[in-house]
Amino acid sequence: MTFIERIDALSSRFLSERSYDLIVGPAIADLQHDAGDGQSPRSMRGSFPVLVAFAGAAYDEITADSGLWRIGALALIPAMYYAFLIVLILPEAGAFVTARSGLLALAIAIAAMSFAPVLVCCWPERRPRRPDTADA
Amino acid sequence: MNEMRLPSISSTESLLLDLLGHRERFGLELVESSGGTIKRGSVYVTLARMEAKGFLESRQEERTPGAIGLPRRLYRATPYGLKVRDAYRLLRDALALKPAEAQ
Repeated sequence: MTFIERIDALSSRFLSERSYDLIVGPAIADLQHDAGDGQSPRSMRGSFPVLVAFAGAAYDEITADSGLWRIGALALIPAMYYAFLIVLILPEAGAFVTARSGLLALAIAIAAMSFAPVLVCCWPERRPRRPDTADA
Repeated sequence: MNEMRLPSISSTESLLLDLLGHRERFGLELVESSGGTIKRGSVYVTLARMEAKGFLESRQEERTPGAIGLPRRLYRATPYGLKVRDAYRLLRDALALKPAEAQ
């Protein structure tokens, strides 16, 4: 699976047709045009603008659709659960948890573990895109 | 009483309208002509937001036989977008005046 196919699959699941047509699609098209052969970029640097466009489109989806704020509310439940566990083991964890970098790492881990399942399970269904834009 | 909502325009949006002028251009062309002010990843998000505001319109390029990859998107500023940009420019100039100059 190429990079563009992966982005296409992710867009089909998480983005509306409008976001794909106006944000991710043009980013891919310009990337392919830049590469000159219509293929995937060969370096991480080349794919970065498409990743940024995808992230921007996802952010637009979240902020435009107020229903998606419930994802944040749902993610709070596991976040509280994990945070409570951390509080319980705090005296045992010692230096790792008291260090600033350790706390940051824990916060990132809690956010990832809380948001990932909620995003996958609760993100609204998206209609499959028209074949002419998806397969071009 | 209904309040009229004024359109808002950022400096990046204003710059994009400047770069577009009355021509039709691709996203990548706008990035290149901005001299590094506009980033390649964020330009499409900004352009989509501007289109939602009615500042510009876009269409897919016509495909030539044998073309590969997705069709690129061409952008054109709307008269409304240019009008908002000009109005905000006037407002900024007026607000930049010192009290003595404004009289």
